This record gives sequence, C-alpha cells and structure tokens, in this order.
Amino acid sequence: MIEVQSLTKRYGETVAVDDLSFEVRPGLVTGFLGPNGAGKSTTMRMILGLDHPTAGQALIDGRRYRTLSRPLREVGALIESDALHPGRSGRHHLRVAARSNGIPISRVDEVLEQVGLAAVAGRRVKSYSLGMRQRLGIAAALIGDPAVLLFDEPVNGLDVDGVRWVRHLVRDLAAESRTVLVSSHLMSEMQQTADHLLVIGRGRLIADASTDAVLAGSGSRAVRVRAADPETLLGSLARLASAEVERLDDGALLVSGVSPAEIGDAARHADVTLHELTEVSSSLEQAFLQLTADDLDYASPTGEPGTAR
Amino acid sequence: MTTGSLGSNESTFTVFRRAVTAEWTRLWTLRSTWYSLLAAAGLMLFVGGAAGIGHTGTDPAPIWEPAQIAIVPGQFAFLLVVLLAVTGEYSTGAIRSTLQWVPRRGILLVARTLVPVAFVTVCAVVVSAATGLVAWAFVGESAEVVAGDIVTSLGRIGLVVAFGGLLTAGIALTLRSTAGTLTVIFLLMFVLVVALGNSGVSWLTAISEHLPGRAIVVIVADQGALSTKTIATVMVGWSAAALSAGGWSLIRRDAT
Repeated sequence: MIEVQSLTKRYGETVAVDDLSFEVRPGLVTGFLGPNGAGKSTTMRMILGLDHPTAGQALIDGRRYRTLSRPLREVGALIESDALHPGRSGRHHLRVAARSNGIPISRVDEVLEQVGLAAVAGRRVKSYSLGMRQRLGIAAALIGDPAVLLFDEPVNGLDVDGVRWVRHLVRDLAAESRTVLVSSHLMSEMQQTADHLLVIGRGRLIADASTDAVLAGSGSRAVRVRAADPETLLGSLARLASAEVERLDDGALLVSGVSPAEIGDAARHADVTLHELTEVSSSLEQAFLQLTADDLDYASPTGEPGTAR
Repeated sequence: MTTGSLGSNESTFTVFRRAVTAEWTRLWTLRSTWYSLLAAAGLMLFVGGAAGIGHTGTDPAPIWEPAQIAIVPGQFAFLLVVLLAVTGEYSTGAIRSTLQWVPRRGILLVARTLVPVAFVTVCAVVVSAATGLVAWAFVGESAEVVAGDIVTSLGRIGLVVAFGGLLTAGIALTLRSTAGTLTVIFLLMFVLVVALGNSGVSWLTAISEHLPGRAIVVIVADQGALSTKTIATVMVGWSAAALSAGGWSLIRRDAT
C-alpha cells in the first residue's frame, strides 16, 4: 500500500508536483498516466526518498522510504534505466543490490534468469541495449521479492516480446496481491495492463478511478454511421436533441449522445438506407485528451494552480 | 500491518555492515579502481627505484625513505580511486540505485567514505613497502642503507593517504563532479601550496602553511618544518570541513 499525502515539489517558481494525494492498493495494477513532464517521475522519486518533497509526504505501508533498513525486501522499483554504472557487469550490479540489503547472493542468478539476462550477465552494462538495461533494472526491483513495486515507463526501449513480457509480469505481480504502480505516457499501454488509473497533468491529479470508469466517463460511446444519403440522415438526426454529429473524412458520420437504435429509427423515419452502423468504444487516449483538456481549462492563465478540480 | 514491520528491529550496525559490504563490492567490481591502483603502484615503484639508483653516497639512509618521497606524487593516483568511487556514481546516474538500496543516507555517508579511504590506505602502505624493497635492490654497491623504522615510515604514509582520502571524499560528495573535484584537490594539495609558499608575501606564505598539501609534504618528507599541533589542526580542520559539506550534500540535497 502506497499513500501519497498532499505531496508537492517546487523547483524555484516551477511547480512539478502540486498537492498530490492518492493511494495505491495491493492486488491491482495501478497505472500512473500523464504526458511527459506531468510530474510522474518526480512523484515516484519522492515516494522512493530520492527527492525531498517541498510539502506533504509519501508512505509505504505507513513508513517513509528513507527510514527503511532493507528497502529492497519491501519495495522494488525501476526508475530510470540509466541508474547504473556502465562499467559494472549486470551480475555485479545485482550483487551490490543483494549485499546492500542482506539478500542471499543466490537470488542474483535467479532474477537474471527470470528477466532473461543470464547469458549476458558477465558483460559490462555499457554493452547493453536500452531494453537489456530495462530488464536489469526490473531484475533489481524483483531481487528482494518485495510486496510493493514501482515501474517508471517500464516498456521504454523494449521490443515487442519485451513489451508483452512486462505486461504479463506486471499482471502476475498484481495477481500475487502485490501493490503495483506503473507509469506511462502511453495510454494504449495502460489500457491493456492497468486495473486502476491515476491520471495527472501539470503535477495535479485529474482522475483517480478504475480504468473502465475512466473509459466510460469519457462519456459518450460513439456510433459510426454510413448512409446512402447522409444529408437527409443529418436532417433527421438534427431532431434528436442529444445527438452530436461529426463528419468523418471518408464520408461516414460519427454520432454520439444517442444509441444505435435511435439512429436506426431516425434513418427509417427519413427513409435512408444505412450501409454501416458500428458502435465505437472510445479509447483511453480520447478519454485522456478530454481529461487533460478540461484540466487546461481550469488552470488560470497565469499558471497559478487552479482552484477547480 | 503488524507492529513488527514498524520501525527498524534491525540494529543500525547491521544496516551499516551491509552498506559496507555493498560499497566494497562496488569498489572492486569496477576496472577503474584497479587501473588507478596499477598506475599508483607503477609510479611509486618507478620513483622508488630511481631514488635507489640515485643513492650512492656513504651516508646511510633508511630503506623506506624512497617511498616517503614517491608518495608525494603517488598519492594522487590512490586518491583517484576514492574520487571515482564517489563522483562516478553521479556522472553515471548510479547514485539513484545506491540511494534506493540504502536510503538511510547518514549510514551511506559513513560507509561510502570509510570503505574506499581504508582500502587505498592499506594499498598505499603495501605498495610503499614494496617501493622500499625495490629501492634497496637498486642502490649502488658502495651505498650504505639502514633498516630504519618501518612502522613510523609506513605509518606516516598511511596517515597522509588516509587524510587525503577523507578530504577527497568530502570534496567529491560536495561537488559531485570528477573534473571539479580533481581541480580542487590539485589546488589544495599542490598548486596553491607551491604558488603561495613561493610568493614571498608573508601572509600568503602563512596561508600556504595551512593548506593540506603542505601538511602532507611535512609529514612524509620535511619533518619538523611545522609543529605537530599545526599539522593536527590542519588535518582535522580540512577533513572535517570537507566531510561536513559532503555530508550535507548527500543527506539534504536531492539525489541528482
């Protein structure tokens, strides 16, 4: 369980993280979503005690990270893939991790095997690809078998196999009732892995809800309509008060605010033949854009933190 | 959550012991450590051997004396090990992993300073002993040598390297930059000592007498030029100041 309470980080005039409060619960994959520069990494660094909060605090199972005696046994984290010395081999990097937390050295080869780096473990990190470094970082996160895991942009630099592997890993870790927080700026990635979403923009919490709720909350599922005579259908749809119609480039109409049944009725009324009637579920990407657009509306022009949330 | 998981039921010493083994692993798993030591040993043995060849007189000299001369340039190669152990973490970003694994920064400060400084001190003493023996092997046939006081001689060498190491660690933790630390070390240990000492201006000379580099030269090669009290004050003062600044930087500032 991670608890973030009124966490704030300022760098001079810039507010990187602005009064952020949330909880991350065990047994779920919680996605930490926001555009680059939204404050995801800064928040994670404060949770891990790397950066000092200007105000507020972050607790892991009720304790501040910086008081932990054996942090790797409680919290595993992948922060940046370059948080290692390129002159050290992968195996030695993990050996230092094990030594620092009183973890048996035998765990080093176990996690190397688990992340698929056993064959290159003796090579110095400078020869590793970005994906291999990510895997090494994940190995260090797993070495202490922790109940809480934080991954900052874990799929960066991974190939297709690697991405699939991280997805499964993250889901498996949550299924073992661990607390899992995964950050990403890729909404499609979160849509596939996260049960719960924390959406932040400009350092502030925009949404804290289940992935389904965020998707549904983006409102309107839209319906794609292709008709023999779109102009007549448009006139008919205009009589439905809640309908919003958008013309797509290929001549189809994207209708939101009404059900496919209502559109069908309207078409029959206007005597228009329908060639297509497809329900389009909105993507997390659209939901996200909508949420952050709202956020920008609330922010005052001077960049002062808005009062509306 | 149970009360067992609250607070630390592990002693600070246990956490410190783990931090020390981790720092030691960090040190020996880097090639730069061994290359620096190799350079130090090569320099010491070369200077020592040359001093041996140069010693032809009948005036009996202690066989450990060449090492005391060789450590003056040789110390910088030993100090490089300490310097890189600290600044390498910042230039590579590895400090983020380090602080994640040992978040109790006071403990990390002590381990990070102690391990490389103790290591290079031991290495310097061992290499100095070898330097004395090499010098002995090269002395001219007519030259006389005496065994001399090995404990005092190697003790002085150990003292200057330990002092230089603490100073280097403190400055490196403060500046976090390899080039910056190198510059400051060379200024304090060499450039300013020579420049101010030879300035002819009395108060500048007085300052140079209180620089760490001067104390080191006096300890190993110019005994009696400064009082023991002055030397002790200079060493304690400089290392305490450097480590206070470095400790503040490690504990209070953000990781990178």
